[in-house]
Amino acid sequence: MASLIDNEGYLRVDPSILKLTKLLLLTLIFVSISFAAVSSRLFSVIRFESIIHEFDPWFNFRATKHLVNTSFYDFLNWFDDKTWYPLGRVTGGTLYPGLMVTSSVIYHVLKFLGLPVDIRNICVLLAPAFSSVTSLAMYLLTLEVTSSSTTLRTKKTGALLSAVFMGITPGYISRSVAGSYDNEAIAITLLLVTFFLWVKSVNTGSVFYGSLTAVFYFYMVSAWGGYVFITNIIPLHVFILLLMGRFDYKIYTSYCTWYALGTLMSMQIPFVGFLPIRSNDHMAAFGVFGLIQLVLLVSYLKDTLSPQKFTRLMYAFSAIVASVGITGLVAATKLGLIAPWTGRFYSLWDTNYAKVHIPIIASVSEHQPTPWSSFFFDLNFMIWLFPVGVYFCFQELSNSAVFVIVYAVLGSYFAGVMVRLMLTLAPVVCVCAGITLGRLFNIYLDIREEVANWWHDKKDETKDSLFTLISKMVVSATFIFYLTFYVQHCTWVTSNAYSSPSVVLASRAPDGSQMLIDDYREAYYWLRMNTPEDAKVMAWWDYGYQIGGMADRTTFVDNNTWNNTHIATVGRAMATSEEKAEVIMRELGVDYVLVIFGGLIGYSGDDINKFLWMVRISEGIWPEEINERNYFTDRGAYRVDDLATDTMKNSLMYKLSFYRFGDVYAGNDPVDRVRQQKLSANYAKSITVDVMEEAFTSENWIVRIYKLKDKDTFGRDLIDIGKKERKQLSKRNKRMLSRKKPALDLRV
Amino acid sequence: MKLTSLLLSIGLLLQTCMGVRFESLISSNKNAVIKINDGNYKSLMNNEDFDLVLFLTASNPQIGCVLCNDFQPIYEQFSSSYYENLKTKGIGKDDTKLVFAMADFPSSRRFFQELSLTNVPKLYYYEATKGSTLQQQDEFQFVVMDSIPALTSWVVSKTKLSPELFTIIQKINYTELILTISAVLGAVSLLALQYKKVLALLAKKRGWQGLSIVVVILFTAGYMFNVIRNTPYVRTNRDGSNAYFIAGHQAQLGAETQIVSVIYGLLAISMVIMIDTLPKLQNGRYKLAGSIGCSVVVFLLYSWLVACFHAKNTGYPFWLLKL
Repeated sequence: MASLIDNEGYLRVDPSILKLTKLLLLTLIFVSISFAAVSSRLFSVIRFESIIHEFDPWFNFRATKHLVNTSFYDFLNWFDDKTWYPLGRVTGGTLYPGLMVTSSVIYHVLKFLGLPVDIRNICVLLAPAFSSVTSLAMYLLTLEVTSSSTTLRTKKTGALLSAVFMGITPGYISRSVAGSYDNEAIAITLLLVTFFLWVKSVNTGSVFYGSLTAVFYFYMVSAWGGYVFITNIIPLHVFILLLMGRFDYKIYTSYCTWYALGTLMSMQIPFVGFLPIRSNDHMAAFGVFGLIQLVLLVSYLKDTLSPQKFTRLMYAFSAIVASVGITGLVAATKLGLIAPWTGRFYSLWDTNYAKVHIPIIASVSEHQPTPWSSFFFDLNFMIWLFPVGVYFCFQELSNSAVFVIVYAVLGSYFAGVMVRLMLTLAPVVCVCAGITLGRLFNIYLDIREEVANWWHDKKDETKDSLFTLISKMVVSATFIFYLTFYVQHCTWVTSNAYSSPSVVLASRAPDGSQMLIDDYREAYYWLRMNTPEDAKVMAWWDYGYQIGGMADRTTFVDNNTWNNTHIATVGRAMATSEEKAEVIMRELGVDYVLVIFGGLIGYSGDDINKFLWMVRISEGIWPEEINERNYFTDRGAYRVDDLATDTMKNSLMYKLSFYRFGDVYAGNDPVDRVRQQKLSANYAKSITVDVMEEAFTSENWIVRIYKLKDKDTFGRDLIDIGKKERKQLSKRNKRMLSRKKPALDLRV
Repeated sequence: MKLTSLLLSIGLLLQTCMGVRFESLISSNKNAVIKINDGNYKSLMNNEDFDLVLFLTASNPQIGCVLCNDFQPIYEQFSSSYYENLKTKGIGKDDTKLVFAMADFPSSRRFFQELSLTNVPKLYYYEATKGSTLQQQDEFQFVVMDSIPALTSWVVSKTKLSPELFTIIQKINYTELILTISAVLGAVSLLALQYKKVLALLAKKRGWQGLSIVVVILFTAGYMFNVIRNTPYVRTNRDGSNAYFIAGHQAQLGAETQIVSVIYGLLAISMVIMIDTLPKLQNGRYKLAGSIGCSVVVFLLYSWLVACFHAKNTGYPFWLLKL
């Protein structure tokens, strides 16, 4: 008998059945969380198709295909001669292989199981799949943080709530929708698992969990450059614990295990190499590692020596350590053993640094600061539960709560400085919101006492408990309402803001029906089918990965942006006049030029809008040749119509964008619908391109491809030939016009 | 500052009758740019004694001209170094007399209208006898890169003065220096004398708690955006009323951060009361009143927040209370 009614009238149930029910419920909850997390990420697949999104994912996809087709060692030694022509790129040594390895392992496992799934589908669906693991990790992390709490009775409520939050928060969905096959897709999962294991190992002091932390840290290093965040936050946590006088052997064990193993393992990644002992980003971890040994020594001495001797020793000791440390650091920097801060990281601290020194960083919109509305957009009501959660972490200040506080303060600073670091803030916001709501529901959903009073009909307490019951109901009802509001908000944001693949654009036809603009793929497919396999395509770096991934043609620059000069060369070719550009293009070995032009349908992310960055970046290298001011009119306006400056009108990018633009309007004045400027029909007709010929223009004119003409057989200048031809043409035209045409209409 | 400029303008007005002389101008101002406003522009523009480099700007934060505010300190430093060099080195052989001046928009509205300006900043050069007949090439082209060398070469090419006159003299800001030193000294002495109290203060949990929460609220309310972008505090509409919110996620006003952080702060306080303070109360009625009151406050504040968000994201479909 599993259950029976005992002689006092209570229902007695076998404890194992209760446990089983609990487990079943928990499993059910997780299944539904995973379902919610995965399905809210599938908007783009349902609306468009199973396709890789944006720019970087195309590179990751291409690299994954390479890995699946070759062996792992071939992959690490991969020298890619189809990018950065003529330099090439040591791709195997300059990427984080974690993502590709993960999906290829999944691919092979599925194949072994007899489920041959196309590698593209694995890549597309990897991020949603990992998001459900993330919410599980979030559950464990929150549970571990609140595990030592004495006032919280049901700890799982908060943990489960935080898991739900993490599953559908737009701050995380933005980087993990189906098709956004980027490093962040798995990195956030790994980040959370690492943090969970770290907190666990600090709480238990076990070498096992310390080593597990290191293993997942290694996985994280192999997957995303953002691992530096972990490398700095864990030492900071330990350092603050030391300052608070909380040193114990648990902290010592877990930190030393993590640091020693984690650093050694992270150095196995070719791209990371010796960075962990050289770059300043990793110095904090190293410094705390040294410090914690000293603290251990000191605490040992304190136990053995007399207090007087101990103080004297301490003074001498700290003086020596400080002087040796500082001189060592300065000397190593001077000798060049330690690399200076990398630009991307440095721009986090000195916010003006990037603007002044590195235009290529400033040009990436992901490096912009975050307004408050973005926080609300991405996190909804959790953003005001967040500080409350921090408050409660202080109320019960366990070691793991200190970790959450450190993470909260650092994370919100970084997210405030850089929009894309919202991603690293989102987890801690979910933890804090989960803790807050967990506590709230712990108090206000717990109506056992009131119901019991009512049940047993205790007259004197019934009235009071009725009041409490009402108040509890009101509070819980409002918050349950906020939770449903959260779900609606997240769904709306995900479906409206984060589910566009940006390779295929959706717009509305005049009658309201949906219209898909598929110019990118049309053009890349044209390139793939109609150009020789070794054709070299010049385009701005944003499109490098897509050309490589979809068209499979050689590119000059791509989103890797490792060589600023090469990018500037391409920018210079686009920004100068046709004559100069021809020389540059012949030197580079260009066959085709691809430009993005949105003027016809009003697609604002086109090359003319990005043009100023090309000018700025090339001006950084050739200031005497390119000058940004020349592209603005005297009044400081950026014009593309008849009033544009001569430099603008003569630039290759301008010509390639607007060449034959007037033809579409059949004699009327063409209108650039992005800049909202009207060109006169005559002027539009006078825009000519002589060194190149138009090879392809997509349906909506978004992508235009030109072929560089061969040199003239007789060595004549191509531009001169063009001019002469036009002259003759205009003469002939005049003659045609002067000749009287016979009247063809009906005579009545 | 205002008093001196007032005196200066009165002095200039007096001189209008006699015609402004270069020497008197230079001696009366203390190495600072000469401020032009509606009162004195005629006398300065129509003179035959000296050349004029004129910076037209709108420094008012409500107008929000970034380039103006970027360039103004450079220009001021440049011209004050010129005046200082002039005193130590003299004009030189050419005896071209040059005066640096600037006109700010709200105080010289009429002057701007006369020039029929449509945009600022502008930097013009006027030759002594020609007055306001301006040639196209007499305008300085603003570039994004380092502007002091460009400015020097432009002024030199116009005036034929020796470039030595325009070497920049770095001024030491003494008040700031003294303030910093005294602050550091004060902190050190405080630490030395009262280190036990300071340590006790540092060890207080409440202090850190408040600090972390304030920091978190500030950062999530977009404080860093204001610092990095140097955003204006409010925006003035055409009809003179103030706008506290700008639509769109690309821009933000200083007032927005303040409003939103106040909302966040109040929300946090009511949540803490609801979760931490109320359950400790013994009286059931207080509990009832307190928790219902708090949830109403939270609801109202949250509705206000959503309303603020509507001002930023106009297409947002959800409302709590339409405020």
